[in-house]
Amino acid sequence: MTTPGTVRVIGHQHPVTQTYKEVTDIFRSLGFETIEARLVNSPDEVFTHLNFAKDHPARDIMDTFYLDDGMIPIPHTSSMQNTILTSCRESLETKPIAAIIAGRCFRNEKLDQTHEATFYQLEGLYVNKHVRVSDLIGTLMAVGQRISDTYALELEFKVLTTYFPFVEPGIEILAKKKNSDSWMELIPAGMIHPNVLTAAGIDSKIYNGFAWAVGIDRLTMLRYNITDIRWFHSGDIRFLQQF
Amino acid sequence: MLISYSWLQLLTKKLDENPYEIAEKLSRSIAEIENITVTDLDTVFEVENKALSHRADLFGHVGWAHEIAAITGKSVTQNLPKDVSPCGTIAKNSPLTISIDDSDEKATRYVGAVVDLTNQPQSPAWLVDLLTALGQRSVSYIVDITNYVMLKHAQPMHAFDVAKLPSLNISVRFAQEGERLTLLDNTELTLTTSDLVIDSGGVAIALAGIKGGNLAQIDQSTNQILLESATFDQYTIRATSRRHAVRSEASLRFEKGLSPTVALTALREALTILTGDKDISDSSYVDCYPNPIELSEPIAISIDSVRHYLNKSDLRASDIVSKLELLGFITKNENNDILVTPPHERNDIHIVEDVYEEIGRVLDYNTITPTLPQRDASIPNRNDQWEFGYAVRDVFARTGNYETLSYSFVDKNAAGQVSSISEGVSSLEPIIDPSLVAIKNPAAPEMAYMRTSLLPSITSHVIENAKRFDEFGLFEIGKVTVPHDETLPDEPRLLAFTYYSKKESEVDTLSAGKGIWKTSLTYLGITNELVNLVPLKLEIGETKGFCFGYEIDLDVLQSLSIPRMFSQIPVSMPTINDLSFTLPADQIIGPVISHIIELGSSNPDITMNCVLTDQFQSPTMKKENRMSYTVRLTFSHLKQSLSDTKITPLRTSIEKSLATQFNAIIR
Repeated sequence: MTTPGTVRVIGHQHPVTQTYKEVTDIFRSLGFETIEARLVNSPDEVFTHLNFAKDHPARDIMDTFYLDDGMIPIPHTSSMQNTILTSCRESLETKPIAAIIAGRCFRNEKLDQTHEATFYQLEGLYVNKHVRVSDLIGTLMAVGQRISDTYALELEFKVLTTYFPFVEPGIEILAKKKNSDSWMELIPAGMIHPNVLTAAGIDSKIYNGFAWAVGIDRLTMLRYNITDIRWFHSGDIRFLQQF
Repeated sequence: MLISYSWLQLLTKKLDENPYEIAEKLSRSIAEIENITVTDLDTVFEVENKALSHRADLFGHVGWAHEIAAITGKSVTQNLPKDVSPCGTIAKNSPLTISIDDSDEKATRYVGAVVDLTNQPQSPAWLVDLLTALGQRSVSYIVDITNYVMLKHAQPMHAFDVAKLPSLNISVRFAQEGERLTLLDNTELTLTTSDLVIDSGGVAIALAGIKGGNLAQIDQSTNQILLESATFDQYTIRATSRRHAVRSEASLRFEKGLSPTVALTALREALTILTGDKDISDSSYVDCYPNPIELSEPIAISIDSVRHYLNKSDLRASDIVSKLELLGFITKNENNDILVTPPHERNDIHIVEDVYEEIGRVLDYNTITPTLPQRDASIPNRNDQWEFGYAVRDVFARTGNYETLSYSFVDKNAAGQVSSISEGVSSLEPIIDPSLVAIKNPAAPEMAYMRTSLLPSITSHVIENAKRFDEFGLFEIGKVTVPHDETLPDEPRLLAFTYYSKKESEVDTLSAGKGIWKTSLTYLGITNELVNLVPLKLEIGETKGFCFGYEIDLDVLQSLSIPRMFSQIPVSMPTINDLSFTLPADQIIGPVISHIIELGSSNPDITMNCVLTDQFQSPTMKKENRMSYTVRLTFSHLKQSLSDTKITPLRTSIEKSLATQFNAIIR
């Protein structure tokens, strides 16, 4: 009677794809449609339409990989912004653009505990009339709060200034767990630069909006206290079976 | 970029805040201070260079002093170092001439001055300490002063030994194709016509904006120097720096786009320090500045718009004006608008949004009361592809497998491999030319190609796990890259599933893997022959055991998936019949079972299920070259019990058909 029961093997979904699902569900409930990013895109989509001048040092921010024919394994999910803005601009009069873009991204970074050359973003995009900086901060705080509640993380947030060519102004939401001292960069964001809207054929005098990107792998680490990002692509069952 | 707090204290009136407080405010208003290093002498802040790509002015301390002024309300002071040693005088009647021989205007300004040195003193301790704290090396007094000025105003400078110059006729020009230049560090370059050089009497003496040449390098015996303070086009400098893989503190700054006005400010300050003369006259230097830039047109911002945009209804015009002026902007009130003119150094400010940002960031975004956008609550479209991906993940996890994520990059051996299905059998072949998916700048040789199939990368995870586990299924959903003529590559979303086991028999492994595949697909509502797909045997090298893999396009699966609906459950117990028969040994069993199932579905009232329960070969059969099989047929009827009389005709027709179609002998 006291013999321990036999353990049965159960299957597991990867923690990163689980977080993607949960966070996209939160956004969907707030009215954002889910779109998947391309893996490879053109320099126009990745940089030029996003207000990165040709040869501008800002292109270095992304530490980009290139294919031999000049195409780019995307360094950010913002590479879908122009496509989405362009395809939605006709209906903008009656329907604001509210989309989230899920995508695997690549940067030529040295691997260590907290840096991966392959990572996962969830970009958000919102365009309407008369959008304000306070809407951007309010939306991100609301999302941050929902994430914090969903995962019972008791997060606190603060806003820093940051620079990306495709936003003006650019901000970053940092988060830390209650009683912790270390702030983690969670959501880089900003008001969409008028040049980005213009490149997509949207009148930036009438419309404006904001965009942001949540690091899904970072968030997964925060959620489960995973201390080394390299586990995510290890394929190691000892890791995978914990989630 | 390293920033000395003690220097900032000299540049800002009465800056006595705790450096940690200032660092937090700077993080909030400009860019995150990543590190704070405290030593006995100083506190040094570190900011990532790439976070300042848009702010050339912040590569000098004066730029930071303006930022601190705006966040603390304390103004910037013009500060010159007190403890310096004048060591020369402006050369009288110097034959210096300067020209810019560049029709493309890649050099906008070149200011030069010749200084006679009376001596070359040691750099004072404060200067050596400051340079050290900021990650620079003390070289000589002259060089240290040029670096000091650069770290203060962000303007790189250079000093040449006049005695070693071929001529004092200095020009900026593009290099000739193949022209040689040896740099200060003895690197030899072969230049192109896109590289800007500094020319003295027909000889290139420096790679403009990047590094000096070794020809006119100053040393302890130098008694006359030419000081250079110039402005070059950021893209030209960046391209040359990359072409020759030469980077320097100078190129770092020029790449960001410096304002030509700073060139003169810097030169005048260097001359003041070197000569001790606070009042540098215009005749002390030669200023080649063919097209002086003008201040940009003022940007009109309305106070109401700022209040709305930042959601700060109580913001006063005077608050806005004082912040902008502390940042160095010129402002003018006009009705309800403020006309804002950015200083020359702030060439990142062009549009009204730029000004909004200046105000918002120095006020601290954290003080803004958050709002939510005003919008209707329309329900977003559902992304069926995305949701189906999760339905597949759910099923394969339910059937006991682990979802893995492997890299999108593979090595040369796996490059161009593509899986396909032909007549119910999977295969993986090198189909795509690897050069079409090659990465120009791979992180490592094993990451040099975009993958065209998930199987090679998931197989590497199988091999690793086989060291610790006897049996497991792994699956992955991901996009692969399929090159396409002249357009972006196709990116099919694939599902890969692999089953590995250390079982003695390959057939048992195969059978278990097929079972998981079939169970999972059936649960997804897929009923066609794909459920019986024969997987690919995967090569796992020295690893003990067997591994089989499937790969399929998710869109194909989705198109075959039928939404789940309730089916009626038979009222009575099913009738079970075993059927044994032998077949020629070379007859594959899959089609035979499909045939039985097809016959069994001919009577609409009766449902029949068929499962293979046994297969063997006796010595006699071996001689006759035949195999024996037993299948279990389960018959059921939705509304009534089934008697033998109802089943027998069906069974007989199956037996007959097997005999004629497959040469079966019923046992």
